[in-house]
Amino acid sequence: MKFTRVLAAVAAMALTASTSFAAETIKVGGLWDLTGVTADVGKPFADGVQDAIASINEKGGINGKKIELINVDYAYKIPQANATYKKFVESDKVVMINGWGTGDTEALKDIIAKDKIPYFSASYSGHLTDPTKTPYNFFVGASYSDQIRGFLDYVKKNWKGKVPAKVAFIYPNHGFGKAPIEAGRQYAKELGIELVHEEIIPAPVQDVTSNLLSMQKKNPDYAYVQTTVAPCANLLKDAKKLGIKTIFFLGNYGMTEALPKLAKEAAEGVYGMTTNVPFGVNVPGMKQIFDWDKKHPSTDQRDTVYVRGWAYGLVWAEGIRIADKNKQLTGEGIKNALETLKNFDTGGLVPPITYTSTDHRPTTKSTIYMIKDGKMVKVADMETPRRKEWLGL
Amino acid sequence: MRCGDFKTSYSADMTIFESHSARVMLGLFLCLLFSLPLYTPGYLLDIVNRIGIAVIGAVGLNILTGFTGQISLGNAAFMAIGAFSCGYFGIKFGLPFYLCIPLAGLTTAFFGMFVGIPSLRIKGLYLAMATLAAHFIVEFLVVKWESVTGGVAGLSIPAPKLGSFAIDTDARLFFLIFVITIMAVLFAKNLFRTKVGKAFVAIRDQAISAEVMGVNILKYKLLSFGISSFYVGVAGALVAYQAKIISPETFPVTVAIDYLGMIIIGGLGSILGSIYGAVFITLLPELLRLSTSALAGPFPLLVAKLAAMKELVFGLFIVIFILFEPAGMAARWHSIKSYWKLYPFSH
Amino acid sequence: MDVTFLLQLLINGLVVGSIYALVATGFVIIYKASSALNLAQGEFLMVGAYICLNLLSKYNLPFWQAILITFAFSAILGMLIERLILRPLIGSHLISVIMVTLGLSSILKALIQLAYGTDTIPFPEVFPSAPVQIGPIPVSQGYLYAICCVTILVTALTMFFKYSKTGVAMRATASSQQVALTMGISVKKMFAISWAIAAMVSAVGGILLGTIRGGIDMSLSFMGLKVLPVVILGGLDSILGAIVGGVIIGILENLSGGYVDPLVGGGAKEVAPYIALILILMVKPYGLFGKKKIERV
Repeated sequence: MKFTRVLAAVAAMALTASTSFAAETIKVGGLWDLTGVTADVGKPFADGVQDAIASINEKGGINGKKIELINVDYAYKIPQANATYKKFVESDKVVMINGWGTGDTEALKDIIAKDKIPYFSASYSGHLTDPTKTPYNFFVGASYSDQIRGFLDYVKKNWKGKVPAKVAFIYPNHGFGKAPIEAGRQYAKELGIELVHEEIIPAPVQDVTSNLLSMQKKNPDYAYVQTTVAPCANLLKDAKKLGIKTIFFLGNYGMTEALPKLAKEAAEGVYGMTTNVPFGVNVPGMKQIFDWDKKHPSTDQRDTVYVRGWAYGLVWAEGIRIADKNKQLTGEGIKNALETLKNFDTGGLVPPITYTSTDHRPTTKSTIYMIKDGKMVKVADMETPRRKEWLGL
Repeated sequence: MRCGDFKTSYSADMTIFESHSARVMLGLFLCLLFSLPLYTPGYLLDIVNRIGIAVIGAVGLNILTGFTGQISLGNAAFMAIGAFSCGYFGIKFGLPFYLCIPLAGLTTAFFGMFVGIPSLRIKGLYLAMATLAAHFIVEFLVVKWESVTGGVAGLSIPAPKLGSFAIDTDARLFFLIFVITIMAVLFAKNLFRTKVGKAFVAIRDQAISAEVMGVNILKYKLLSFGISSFYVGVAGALVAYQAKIISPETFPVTVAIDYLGMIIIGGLGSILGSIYGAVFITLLPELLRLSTSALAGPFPLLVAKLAAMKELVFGLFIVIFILFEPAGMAARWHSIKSYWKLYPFSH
Repeated sequence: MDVTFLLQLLINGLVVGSIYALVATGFVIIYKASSALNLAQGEFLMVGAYICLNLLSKYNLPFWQAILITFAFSAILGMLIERLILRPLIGSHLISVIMVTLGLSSILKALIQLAYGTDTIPFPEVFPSAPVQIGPIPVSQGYLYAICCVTILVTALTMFFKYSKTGVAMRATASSQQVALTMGISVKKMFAISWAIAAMVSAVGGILLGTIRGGIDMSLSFMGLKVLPVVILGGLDSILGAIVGGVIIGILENLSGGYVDPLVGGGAKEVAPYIALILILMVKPYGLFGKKKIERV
């Protein structure tokens, strides 16, 4: 029984090897975190991208050519990311990479520019938006910096007190956590909001009671938490136990449908930024996701981050399509193709996407959601101005 | 084929190569090794480079743990010190790599000796835990001391240069790494023919008797920590050049456990064992990845489970080796060799 | 001086520390009885938590049944490991034993990951979540139950070792295996029992952690690493040391988190136990309550 299975595997390998010689495929590298510290959002994201590409392939691919996603789980280990990048470029000869984390994306930014490989990261770090510094980096949605500015705008708009509002920033001490903090500091100063405290929390899920107690001493009215959903849920539960009155705002990797499931009552009344619509919202683009879900039902979570991955797949597949039409299916060709995207519509999954050769901020719109009765409820749409001096911040 | 031992002089007993054919085989192996960059693709060469670095680190750890009996879990911290000091000397002072690497080794040796000072009082598991504590303290310092280490963002290491010749491709790094590896292995092998090496082994076997016989325990323990840390620091510096980007996340405590696994599986107290162990543990995740992606057709779930599989196989191999071959692969190789040497006799 | 802040930190430290103490006690029991260092203690904790969670959520068993079955499972796991892996290694090099338990911890961690994935799985609410006011500080009820549980368990263990026949027999085995054998004590049985008890004790720790945190994930295995400073601090062969050490480390972590972290910008909480460890070892190389090992040539 075992032997026949192995035989089938070998036969399958041989078959796929022969068929891959027959049809031309467009190779794209997929670097995911499926088992590491950010796997709580890494897995649905990877599923979203993979399903979007599979759906495109099912409908004929790019002008007849299929996109081949080469999937690798690097578990958020940066040396592993470097080694996998080498493999993608030298051995698999990919034309593009869909990467994941802030740390490794920022580490690879010089090499991908040298090798001319467009790199889509699930990291929305503002440091990746300036084409003079990072010409080959892209992402789909408002940057972390624009999200924190959206939060500060909301605070300013809704603050009714006489003294300035007090905010705190809570984040882990790595690339992802620190990405929007400087932007947040500057903008808070500009708006006259008092940044009373910055609290650094450990990256994996751990007891953060002492961190919250430290923050509470300064009594902030609002706190912005820049980490993924599992540590956010843990923090909210600890906060509830301590009876902390601060209103929490999460980033776009904290506000997902998993939050009320993990934090239960502690998630009630918590706000968060999203860069794409949650699963199930009635926009034209949601139809293809529902179709896919019906055809390929799964027990894996299909949530906001899944939709995010789907939007990513749609955007860079479009870049590949334009490059292929111009007969320039190389890394540089795809970059140029992406920079022609103007208000590209993913069916409403994300706000319209525009890249230019001088500005890789796809959009500055984000949406604030709140958890009410265990569900994500829309509160407000925010849009921060596209200031030139904020490029790369 | 030779059968039995026919040594007639002390120097013959101490020799590294037991026969002329052994020397020839080694020579052939080295020729083969140095011809690798000519036909090996970049990605595979990258793995080979990492094996070379692992060999240096494993030999260093074996000197301390296998030969001197001091259990150390601080390997990853020492590598981090080596890597970051190499980067620092290169970036801040613009020193060329042939100064940076030895300086990194010396910095690590100095730190290693500092960590070794408590080893006179603290023994066994307590010492292992003290070295583990040192690891976390070093990790903390690396993150905080941003002016030297670049903090969380890490350091981007410029390629080593010989004049205008930049050593930045895998092939060129190969030569840099393996020249150092061969020097390191040779030095270590010879170390244990000298008085110093024998003092190390005496400390491991019976420290009290050794002291009674006149071996200065403190001096040799510190020396052992120093030499071992020098090796590990050099390995760390080479990691910096090879990975080109280092950050505090490059050297987590799992690296220390991996190195311990290398010397256990390879064989404690054996230089050849360190080499086997280094090759095995470095190749293990690559082989696993190859097999899971090859089997990804009929078993698609395997790819997602790869990280867990790697841990499982690593743990299994360690447990199996310790249970059935506690002296490691080197011992197994030795018994295979002696089987052939003595055939048809049994001993 | 903010007294409320200090008290909150102390209480939190006490709770966290009591769980450390629990896991450390398991470690010490194994060391005392069989001279083996079980670095997989953190994984025992994780296994206990995951099994209990599975029983509660998938099979919807009442809490008491789930706990009893988890205990049985942990005890069997402990005895199996002792029999299959540690028994053959009696008398071998210290580093072999350390490495084999490290390998074991990798295996256990990997098996849990394969079975349950890496997502955080929510733990069903066992204790009411409304906090109780102790003076000026709101304390979560789960914390109080945890401290109570640990106190009861530790008292039970101490009485077991002092007054029950098996307990005394285990202490005798720890003191000298050969003499115990001549007195008719089955040393093999003592080993098995000690591993079973240690596994069960860790399982309790895991379940408590799960209820306090409200969810369990792979990070529970880090407990194993945290426990090492505790046992070293307290002394490898002293249960009292494990308890005192656990509480000290728990309180130290929280105090440094509260007072030192703001000064150095984070990270001090994780590193403080290790600094304390080195300082204590310099003064007392066998830990606070550990017995000095007499080396014979």
